[in-house]
Amino acid sequence: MSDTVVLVLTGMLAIGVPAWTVWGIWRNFRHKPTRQSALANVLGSMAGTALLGVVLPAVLLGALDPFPIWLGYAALTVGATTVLGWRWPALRSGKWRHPGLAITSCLLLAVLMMAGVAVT
Amino acid sequence: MAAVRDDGQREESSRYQGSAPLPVMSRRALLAAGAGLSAAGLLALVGPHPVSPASGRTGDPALLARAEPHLRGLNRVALAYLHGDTTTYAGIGADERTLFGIGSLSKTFCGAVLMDMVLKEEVTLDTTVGDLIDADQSDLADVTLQELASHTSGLPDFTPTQTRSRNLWFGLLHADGARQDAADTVIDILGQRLKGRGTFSYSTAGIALLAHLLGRRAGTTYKKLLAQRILTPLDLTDTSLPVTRAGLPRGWEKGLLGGRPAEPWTLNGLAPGGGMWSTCADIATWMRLTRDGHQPGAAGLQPVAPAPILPWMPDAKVAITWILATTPGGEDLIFHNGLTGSHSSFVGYCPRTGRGLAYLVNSAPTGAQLLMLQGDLVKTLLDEGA
Repeated sequence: MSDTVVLVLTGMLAIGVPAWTVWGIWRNFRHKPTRQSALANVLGSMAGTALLGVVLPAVLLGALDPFPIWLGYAALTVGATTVLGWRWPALRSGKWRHPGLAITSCLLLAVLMMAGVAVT
Repeated sequence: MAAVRDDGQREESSRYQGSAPLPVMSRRALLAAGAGLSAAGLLALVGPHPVSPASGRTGDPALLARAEPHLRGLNRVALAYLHGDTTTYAGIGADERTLFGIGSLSKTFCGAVLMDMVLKEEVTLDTTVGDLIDADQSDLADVTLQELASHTSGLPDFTPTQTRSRNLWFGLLHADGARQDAADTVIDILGQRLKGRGTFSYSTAGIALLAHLLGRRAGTTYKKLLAQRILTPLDLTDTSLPVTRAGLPRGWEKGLLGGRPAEPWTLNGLAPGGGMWSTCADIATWMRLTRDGHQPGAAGLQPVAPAPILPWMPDAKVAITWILATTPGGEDLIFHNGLTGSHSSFVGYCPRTGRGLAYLVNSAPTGAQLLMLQGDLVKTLLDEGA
């Protein structure tokens, strides 16, 4: 994985995660997706934010302090989760066998395992 | 009406009708707060942390008072100030015996081994790679040891294999990741194409190749050669070259990456270019020996090529591993610094005034901190004096 690939992937993640999160907040706040769909969105945001928490320190090595930057992502994700909690009673209940939910759950688990290795 | 809420529309209308709004609000607030706190807690477990100064101050209070304004945002720092024959130490959460990874300062030790072998006529600066190893198929066959030692060989900083390893292991997993031993490293580097030969292009791979070639010429490993020629004779007892994690010195501690403890960069085959560990006391001795011409590497301090470090040091030049530049106050400065994922270092002295500064830090500084350390701190201590 070359430095260029790392930078491109991190850049995509850095833009994609907040875009995904803001879209999720807007959708969960203004519309009524199923709970499973809304939860999948938030789990995806958490996976992306956790992954950024691992890669940002390495990518920004010698350049910027990753903490305040990552804090912005984390605040957005916590906001999305809070909105989900707030809207939960109002959301429609769908099927728990939701493909998006399965994918984001696995993604979050994988990222947390990787992050666990990275930070311990 | 408030007990089952799977239809948001009915819930909204019930609230406005004034029927039992408090339990609904309380439940929603509890859910929202619980979800938000859970997410915050989970993310806090895996995300970066702010870096704050470690407790405990050591060494000379006057030196620390001069230096501390320029050490903001660092966790553990050990620094040494050299003036004439006097060396003064100060530290935050560390002292002159605390072990740190010194990163690319390791390169100056490789330069010293080279110059020792030049002085003993075992090699010359014009000895080529092809003179020391079968390199007929390599672009590097006629590259000289001086080119390797002065970063003018045209080699990249790291080979693609080494970059991949660094990004995947050190970057993604913050883990020990150097898989190439010395032999694999040499083969990998000999397979590289050269680009911009003759001009300065910083190369850790080039120094690693130089080190292994010197070891080969002496009929031993570079690690043993370094100990025999430099570390033992100069009594640098707390300085070592751990090639793998198992070789880390007793008492080593993890540095910080993103405010969290991170695996040290034990670089295996690349270790001669950035894998050494030392203490501030040993590094101060190294600086004094270099300044006073008492270590072999001091014979290699003549400029070899321009090495502009933009935008701060446009007139810098490279010698045998050392960089020749000027302080913010315009004094000639001979220095080298080092940076790993979790440690950083600096050694620099002014030949005219005899002042020198060395610092070791247990984290990689940000760009702003680097300016503070190599700009403000250097100005304060080397231009103005402690």
